[in-house]
Amino acid sequence: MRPPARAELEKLAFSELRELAGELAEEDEQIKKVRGYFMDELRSRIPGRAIGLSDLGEGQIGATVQNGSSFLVAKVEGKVFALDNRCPHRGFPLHYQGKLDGYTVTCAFHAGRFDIRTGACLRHPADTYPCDTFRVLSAADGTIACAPKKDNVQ
Amino acid sequence: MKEHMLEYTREEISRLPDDRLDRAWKEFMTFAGQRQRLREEVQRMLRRKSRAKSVRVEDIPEGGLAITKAGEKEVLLAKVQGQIYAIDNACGHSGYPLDQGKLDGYVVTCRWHDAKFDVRSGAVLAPGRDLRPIKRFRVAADVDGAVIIGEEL
Repeated sequence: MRPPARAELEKLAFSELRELAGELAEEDEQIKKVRGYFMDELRSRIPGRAIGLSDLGEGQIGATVQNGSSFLVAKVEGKVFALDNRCPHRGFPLHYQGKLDGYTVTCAFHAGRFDIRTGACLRHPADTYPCDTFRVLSAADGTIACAPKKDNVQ
Repeated sequence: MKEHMLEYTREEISRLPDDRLDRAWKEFMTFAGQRQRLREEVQRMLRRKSRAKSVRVEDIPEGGLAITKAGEKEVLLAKVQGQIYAIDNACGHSGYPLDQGKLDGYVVTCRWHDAKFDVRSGAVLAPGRDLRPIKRFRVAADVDGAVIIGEEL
């Protein structure tokens, strides 16, 4: 599918837009599938058992594949931690361009932060934004009218 | 650069040399980002072109959702304890319409990826699909000093 330009979208009727939205949603399923292939490949392309405890420097992360599973390993204050090498948000391999700061690993995909000691999420991935809010007014005929609030960010 | 990003097969990706894999992933993400922006644009256009409906307070049942328009914006209306709250009818994650979702107390959950928002403030309560902690494993070393991953903690 060739992506229509914005001006072309503007000309589409509501029903045509609905149709396009449906096609794009289907295409998105395919995008997710291929994205999954890439993630699996990035996750598994690590020599198995290549990482020795002494290879891993203080404050560094690495990955190892053992018995077909990929693990993120991180060394902090001399102790090595191991986590499933899969961000719980979109399944991205955490070792791939991920960053370690203290006990916190940041996923390179959407910057979700996790504690390597507990695996707990410390900061939500940054791809979800708050919704604008509106003042609710009641019109003279009893119908609801809404007005944007001043503090809404556009 | 591959002409049709969506024609990649698992096998093809596994055969890419390391540097090509890095580049192909970057290209793929650029493509995926463009498509996401297009989907969002189409959703925005749909909300803009949707017809204005007039809604009365009594039309919305307690704990129910409705939509109305504010200018060109589509607004989600939620009735909780008799009070009507209004937020943008676009999920802050995917841009999909929130009126297709579910209201529980003051929390509306998007139908597509389970992102949760407070209807009073519009604040994000969950960014989509609840994030479980990552599984942890015991770490040991073999005689050569190589890392051995042990059982799940």
